[in-house]
Amino acid sequence: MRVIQLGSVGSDVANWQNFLGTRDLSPGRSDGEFDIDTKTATESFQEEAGLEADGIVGRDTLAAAVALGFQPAPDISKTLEIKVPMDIDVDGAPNAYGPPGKPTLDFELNAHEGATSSGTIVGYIVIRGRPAIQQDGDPFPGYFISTTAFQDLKNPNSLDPRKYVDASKINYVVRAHIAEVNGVHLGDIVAVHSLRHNSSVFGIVGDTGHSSGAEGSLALLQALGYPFTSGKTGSVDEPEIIVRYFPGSNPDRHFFRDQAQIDSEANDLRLSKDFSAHH
Amino acid sequence: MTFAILVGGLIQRFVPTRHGIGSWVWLFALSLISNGLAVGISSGPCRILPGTGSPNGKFALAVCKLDKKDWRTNSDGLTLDESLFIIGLKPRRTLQEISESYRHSSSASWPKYKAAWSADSSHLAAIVRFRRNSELTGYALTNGQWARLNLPSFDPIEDMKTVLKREEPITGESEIVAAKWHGVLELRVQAEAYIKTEPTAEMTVTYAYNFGQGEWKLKVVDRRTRNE
Repeated sequence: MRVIQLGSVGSDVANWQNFLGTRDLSPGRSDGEFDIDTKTATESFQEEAGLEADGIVGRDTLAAAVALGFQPAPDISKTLEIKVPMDIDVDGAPNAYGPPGKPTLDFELNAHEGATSSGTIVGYIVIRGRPAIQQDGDPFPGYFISTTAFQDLKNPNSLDPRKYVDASKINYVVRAHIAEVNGVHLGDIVAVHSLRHNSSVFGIVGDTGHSSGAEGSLALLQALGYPFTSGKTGSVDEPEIIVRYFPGSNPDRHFFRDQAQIDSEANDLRLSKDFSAHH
Repeated sequence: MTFAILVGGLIQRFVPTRHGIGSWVWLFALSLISNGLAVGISSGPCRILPGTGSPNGKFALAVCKLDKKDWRTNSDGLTLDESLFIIGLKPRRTLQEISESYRHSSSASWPKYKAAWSADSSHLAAIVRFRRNSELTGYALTNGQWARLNLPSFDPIEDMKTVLKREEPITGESEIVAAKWHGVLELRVQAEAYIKTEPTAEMTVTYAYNFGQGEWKLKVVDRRTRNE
């Protein structure tokens, strides 16, 4: 965990405030802002622990807290970057797949193994041999239900398209194997940069299925400036996309309903989407 | 194609001569090949796939335009106008279509391709990555001809469902991430499988093809599942 003190902001601060609260040290609201109340509460904790009461959560204060059961938030200052080409993922979009005649974001055969009609359907939900259909009240009634690996765990209905990350609205990447090995979880935040368009956006790790990590949502590629309108044609063929992973940046696996929430969370965590060093 | 074979025959007949007609046919044939019109199985431009060349530099995988008479339309309304071929590089010519089932539309994003060659360039595993899965087809060079190997198929998603005792509904993907020949009697393949319906899970599985008693046999060497 980084050193936090008066003026620090982030989920690690909120985590620290929660800890102080459990010890009845009145740190104020757990809002992630290290204000004067948090500083005073921290000094009280340091006095209790026999430490110098400077109100700064450094190594010794942290060690004393951990000994009392405090669980530091993961260190999101450690990042991992990959540079990849990028295929378009439309999974999770409620209009990704549907019956013949309905405009969709992907070819129906792309939901089948082997891209043939005889191949097993694994790209949308099938129950007893028939596609599950969105009902009235769902985003696209009559369409099929496409899924992503990152899901809203608070939504118990696996047939609700809103349980999945909508590739047409949310910037997401498919998790690379190297990212998984380095502790990146589904739902963690990423910053993504296009070298071609010199554009950067925040997103999340929304799906699995491509161990190279060279796949991102339609919304992501559009936000970076690419002219794609569906997953049917086109891809970024050159390795011109940089994905910066922030391992542990979403420890609660919070499900983001819209892109604004992701951007807000990334800014609260002071995550960087500055890629100027690459130009 | 018939025309191409005819030209091929003419080349064989006339190239050794030093007369005008032989030089003319040779130049004509060269222009066809440089435009991608090949002598042999396919006619139409070919696009050599980067990174698929054989160790001896003689072969590679290429996506070639099919003869218009061979075009078909699939259930998505796409015209299947291209296919995957083994091509010779010296001289450049198409040698063998990998599989008619790999015919696809030039306007679509998928599939993608990889190649795994044996060290002596006599055996090839052509890996075709579709949107949801990968497939592998083996070939061996025997008496100057590329012959398809009778490799049993595998389905990592089905394997994963069996291992995890999962029933419908299942959505997921799988991919072949590596294939390597050990000599020409063993081919090892590493695949990843992903289940995307709760509880989500991932599996790395290593398969081995071994040749013995006149046939290729498939076994699972290693299987590791992971949960998020």
